[in-house]
Amino acid sequence: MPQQRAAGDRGEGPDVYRVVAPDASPWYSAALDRISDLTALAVGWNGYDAREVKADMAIDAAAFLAKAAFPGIAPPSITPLADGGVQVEWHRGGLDIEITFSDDEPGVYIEDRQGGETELSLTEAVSAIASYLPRLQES
Amino acid sequence: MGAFDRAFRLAEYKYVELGSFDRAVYTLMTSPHDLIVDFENPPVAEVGLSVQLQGPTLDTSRAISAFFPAVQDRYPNIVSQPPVPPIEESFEIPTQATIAFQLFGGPESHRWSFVSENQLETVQVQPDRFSYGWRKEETDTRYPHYGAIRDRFDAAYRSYLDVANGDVEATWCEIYYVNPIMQAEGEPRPDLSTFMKRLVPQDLHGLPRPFNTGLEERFQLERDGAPYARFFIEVQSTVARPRRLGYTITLRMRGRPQSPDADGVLAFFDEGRERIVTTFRDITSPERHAEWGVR
Repeated sequence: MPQQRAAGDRGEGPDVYRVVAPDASPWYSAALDRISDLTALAVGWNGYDAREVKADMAIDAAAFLAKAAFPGIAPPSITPLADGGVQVEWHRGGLDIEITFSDDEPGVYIEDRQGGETELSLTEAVSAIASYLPRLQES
Repeated sequence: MGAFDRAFRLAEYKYVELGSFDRAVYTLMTSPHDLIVDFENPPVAEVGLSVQLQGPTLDTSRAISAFFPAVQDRYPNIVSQPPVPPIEESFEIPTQATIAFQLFGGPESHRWSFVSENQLETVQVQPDRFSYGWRKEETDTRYPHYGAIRDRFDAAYRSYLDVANGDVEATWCEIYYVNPIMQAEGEPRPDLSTFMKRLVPQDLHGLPRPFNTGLEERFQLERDGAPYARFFIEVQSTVARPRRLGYTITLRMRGRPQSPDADGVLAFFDEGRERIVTTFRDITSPERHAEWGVR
């Protein structure tokens, strides 16, 4: 779980969370930057009435990726959700995997063109990614 | 006018106008080795000088194998600690609910502290940071004054740059002074307004004396019309051993150096020291100055 830095170190600007992930894929750092950028989106970022990305959703997504960024796995797409959530997606190897961090509809949705649709809870997200790892490898 | 006032007048800031109102450049009024305020027993207990680095800096292993031997005589003790986050300031109006992450992983996630035999001085190195600190904890050690602290930083930092042997650049600097102002054992913590001139004493008819008080102020400093640093005044209620109550006044300046080389870094610290010492004099009461033995 990311840890917030000491208050004495805090300057003007974002709250900084320390993440220790020594075995994460090389793209993990860029993924953290992407999640951080999402939290700067203003209300209505989609041109309608989208909410700001919530800090706890961003942190949950970062914590999930710290465990799921297995060596060799391809980088996911990371997108904001209109309800203030964050979605992490892989679309490769005949798989569409969406990990949704959201107050409204949290969970894992997997569409496997070889085996149909599956819905799981977020607690099963890391093991689901591990089980599909051979099909999610970087080419 | 007493010697006290004369000394302060000599230390007043002077700005040089360069053609327009907003092109003010800070000009030092004292040499780094001159005293701005001379207390026989100054309350300062800790001074830190820190530089954020970029370029071909020393990684964890070279900090030990190449830099440590250069400073080992003065700082023979090694302590491994977790790295600290980068020094940085954003001068824009912050957006709402923005968070950021700092990734640590693998063998590079170390901050080496090289500590002097008397435990008072520490040089700290991590891949993107170089720091020097003097801290006396709760001892009766005399404050060595800024000039000596600056010299220690300068020697260690130039040794580091020599070992790095490349275009290492300083991107951000920070200087801070920590001043605990403690009561005698068993005495209650005084109202902060009795010695902090930023506050106005006030009778609160429905309340006793406050048990805890804090104060935080931030100032934005500009160079050539653009922000380059922030100055922080922080006051916190403090408890010291064995059971002494008081406050800790921390004055800090954090910003971009005038140039990315060692001279630019030192110039930033010299400016920060002047602003800190002068501000400390300004915000504390003459009665406390007398207690600290102003000369």
